[in-house]
Amino acid sequence: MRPAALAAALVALIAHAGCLDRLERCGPGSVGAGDDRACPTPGWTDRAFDLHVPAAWDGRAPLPVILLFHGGGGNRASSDRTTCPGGDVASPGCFVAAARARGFAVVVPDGTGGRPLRGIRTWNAGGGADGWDCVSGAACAAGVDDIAYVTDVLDEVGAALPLDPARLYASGLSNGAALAHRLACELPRPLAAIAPVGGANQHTQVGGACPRPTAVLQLHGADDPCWPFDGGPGSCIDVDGDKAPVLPSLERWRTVNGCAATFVDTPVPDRDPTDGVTVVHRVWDGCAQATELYRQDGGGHTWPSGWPYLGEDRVGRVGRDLDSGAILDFFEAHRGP
Amino acid sequence: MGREHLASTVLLGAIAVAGCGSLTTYRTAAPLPAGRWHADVAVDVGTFRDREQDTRTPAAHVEVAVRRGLGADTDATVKLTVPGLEVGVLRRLATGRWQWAVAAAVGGERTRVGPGQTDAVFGHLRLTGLATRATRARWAFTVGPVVTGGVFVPAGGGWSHGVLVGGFANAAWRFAGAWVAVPELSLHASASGDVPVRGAVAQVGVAVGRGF
Repeated sequence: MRPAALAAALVALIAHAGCLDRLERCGPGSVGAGDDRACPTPGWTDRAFDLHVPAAWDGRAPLPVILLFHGGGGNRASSDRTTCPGGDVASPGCFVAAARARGFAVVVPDGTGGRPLRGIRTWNAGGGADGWDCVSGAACAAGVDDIAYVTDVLDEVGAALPLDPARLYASGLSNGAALAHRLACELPRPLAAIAPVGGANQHTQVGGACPRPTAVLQLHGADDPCWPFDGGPGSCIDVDGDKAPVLPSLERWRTVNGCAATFVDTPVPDRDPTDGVTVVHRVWDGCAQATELYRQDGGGHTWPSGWPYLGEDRVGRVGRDLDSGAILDFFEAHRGP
Repeated sequence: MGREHLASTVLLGAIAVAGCGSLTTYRTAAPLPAGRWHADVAVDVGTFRDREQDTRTPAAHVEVAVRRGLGADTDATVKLTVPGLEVGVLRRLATGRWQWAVAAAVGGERTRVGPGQTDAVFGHLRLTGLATRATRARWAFTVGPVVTGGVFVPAGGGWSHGVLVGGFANAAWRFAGAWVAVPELSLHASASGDVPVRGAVAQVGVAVGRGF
């Protein structure tokens, strides 16, 4: 082969290898009942989101929407899997499937990619002062404005679907849980309720403002090795700084939500005696907005009835006395202003 | 996913570091004689430091390169990397006690969602200056500046770019007939943008090859 022909063939090979199907915007009229779409977020590089629409939607009624945030180091592709029993993404017990079955649309966004490992993503959930860990990693260190990002995601979703502004919710694991706390404090659109799993409010721990009452259901393992229930230097993979303790985070929410200092603890039926986990449900009294905690004694840094994504030796036990239904029950019971 | 899976994920991610393209040279300023071939295999390890994100990422690369002399002062190189491809050309400018040359290369990588990666295309254009001094029959030392422009185009929307400015130093050792080993050190710092990082890259490696 002559050199010129060889060079031409190689250039053609590079061009072919470079073929990339870029995501199309999820604009008005482009999304229907039962759709699973991946949508870019205009103005943001490599910050797409997945949009899951309930199959039973009539195409007109305003939809309740849940934002589901992955943990630090994850991405939107792995986000739902952590919620699935045994990691089986076909299970009806996965959070997205369970939420859609109850009529919620679910939005699963992508955090900021690392450099150069762009698929390892994190959220800027706050912290980074007075010895408190900057949660989490690259996004927090770089000061990414994830409030603006989520605002833009919701604008894009709102252009594609009629949203019910009184039924906007957020949940997530670990770094995603801490972001849910921060969004309840700072997102311009008020959230009706949040359900953080395995992550507390790092934003208020370093003095961040949080004036808006919001219904909060915290789920947290008492034996969480990555985000310790009592706070401090938890670590799943690497040595991190101090994480915010759970009860002081909820104490701030109790005050903002107008609750009394008293509460009622109720044991949750031990549905799976083999899981090594028991659960206590704490409900604060007299709240203007509900403030509740599922403390999973013996439980780890995992989604209830979910998947121990790094192995139980690293992230702790998966409790199976609760499942995603506990979160969806809470969301169904609460509407925003 | 167990501990072993985590370790393999990190390892694969480190090996398949995307967006860096090839930053290596592994050659002297002397082009191959017209019609001659040279092939080599190279491995390197390094670290990517992103100052803005406060991250350090270890990396390892494997490259296979084939070179052919095109004329008295010109040769062309095709380089396969993990996971990309690059084509380049070198032109010698002057000979004497020192040999001087410039090289240009263009390459690309296609990454899929996987360990540490996202669905994207990376492209790069690299310009290298080479100055080679042969000190003995078997040894030649080469140094030079390297400027690398990179572009990141993800399926998820938007794009970004970056420019790295740096340099390299290597020693080519002809150790058995047509066989040559080239250990090399290269250092690069980002002058603008964030592809592959907003920070610095350091790599050390060695290529072993022979002429035909």
